[in-house]
Amino acid sequence: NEGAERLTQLLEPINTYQADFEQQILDGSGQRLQQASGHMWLSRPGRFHWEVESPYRQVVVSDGEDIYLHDPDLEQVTVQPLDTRVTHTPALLLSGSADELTKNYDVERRQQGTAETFTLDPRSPDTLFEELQLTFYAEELGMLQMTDSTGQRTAIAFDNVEQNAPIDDSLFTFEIPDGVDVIRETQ
Amino acid sequence: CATRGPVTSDSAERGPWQDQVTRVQALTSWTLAGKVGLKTADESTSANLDWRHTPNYYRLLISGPFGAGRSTLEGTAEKVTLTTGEGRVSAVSAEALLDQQLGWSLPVSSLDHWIRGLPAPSDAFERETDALGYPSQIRQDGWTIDYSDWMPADGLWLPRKLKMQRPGIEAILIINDWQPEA
Repeated sequence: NEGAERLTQLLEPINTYQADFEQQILDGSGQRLQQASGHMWLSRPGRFHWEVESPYRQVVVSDGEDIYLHDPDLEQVTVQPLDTRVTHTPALLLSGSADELTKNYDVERRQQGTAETFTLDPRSPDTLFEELQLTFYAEELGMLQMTDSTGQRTAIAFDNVEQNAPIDDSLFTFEIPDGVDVIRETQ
Repeated sequence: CATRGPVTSDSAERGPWQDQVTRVQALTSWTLAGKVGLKTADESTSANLDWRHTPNYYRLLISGPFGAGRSTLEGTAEKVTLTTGEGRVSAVSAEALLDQQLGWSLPVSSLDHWIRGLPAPSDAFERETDALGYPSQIRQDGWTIDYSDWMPADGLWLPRKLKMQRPGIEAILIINDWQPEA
C-alpha cells in the first residue's frame, strides 16, 4: 500500500544513522515514568550502538548477530542472540530491512506540513507493543513511539541526526571488560 | 561478583548518621532512578528501576532497555496493581503479585525503609554500623542487606548501592538519581 511504499522509500537509503536520543516512558495518561538520554549509531544490516549517558550509564551493542548489554553500575554484561523482532529491538527499525518491516505491519501514513507520521500495527499479535509510530521531519527520522495494550508508551526523540556518514566499525563490536559478570541468554 | 569494601565518595563530608537519622525517618516522599540486578538459582537479569514514593501511593517501574518488557507496580493502602505489556493484574499484596507475575519477588513493604538505610518497623532486626554510625548491614525478615556506598541528596546522605540477599535470591540496587522531597 501507499504508506508501506513511502516508508520503504524513506528507510531504504539509510545505510548508517546516528543521533542524540531522548527516551521517555509514559503511562496511559501521558505521565512520565522514566527519562533517559544518550547517543546512538546504526549501520545496516542489524548493527547498532545505543549508549545511555544519563541519568545512568548503559551500553547496548549489536554486531548483527549478538546483542551485548553492559551495565557498569551492576558490573554485568548480558549477551543474547539478536532478536530480529523490531518491537524488541527498535533500533532494528532502521538497520533492519525495510520490506521485512512492511511485511509484518500494516502501515498508515499521515502528512502534516513536512512531518510524515507512519503508524504501524503488527499483522500478527505482538507480545510487547500494539502500535509503532515513526515520524519523519523533512524525510529524516525524528521520533519513534511504541505503545502497548495498556497505553504505556516508549517515546524516543532523535536530534542532531546524521545519515550515511561513515561510522567506525569498532563501535559495533563489544569488548567484554574483565571483572564483570557475563550472563549468556539463549533466546 | 566480588564484594568490595565500602566505597564512600568522601567520608570526610559525610556527617554522623545520628545527625540525620530523624530527617531520614521523616522522609516519606521521593523519586529515584536506578538499576536492579537480580540473581536467582536459575536466572540472572538486570533492569532499570524508577520509583515514585509518597505516603499513600507508590509506583515502581521495572523496565529493560528501550522500555522493553516493562512492568509498573502501583500500590495504595487498599490494593496493589501490576501493569505489563499484556495487561493489568491487582492483588492485596505486592509480594504475591510480583511472585505470581514475574516469578520473583522483593519485600516491597520493607523496601521503602531499607532503601533509606532503615530497618522496617514490622520485625526484629540486627544491624552493624560503620565508623560514622551508618548501617553497613541490616538483617531482617530472613534478608541480609549490605550497604556499600552512600551519596549526598538534598542535604542527606542516602544509600547509593545496596545488596539484598536471602537464600536463593540476590538483588543489587544501584541508585543513580535520588530526589528526596521534604
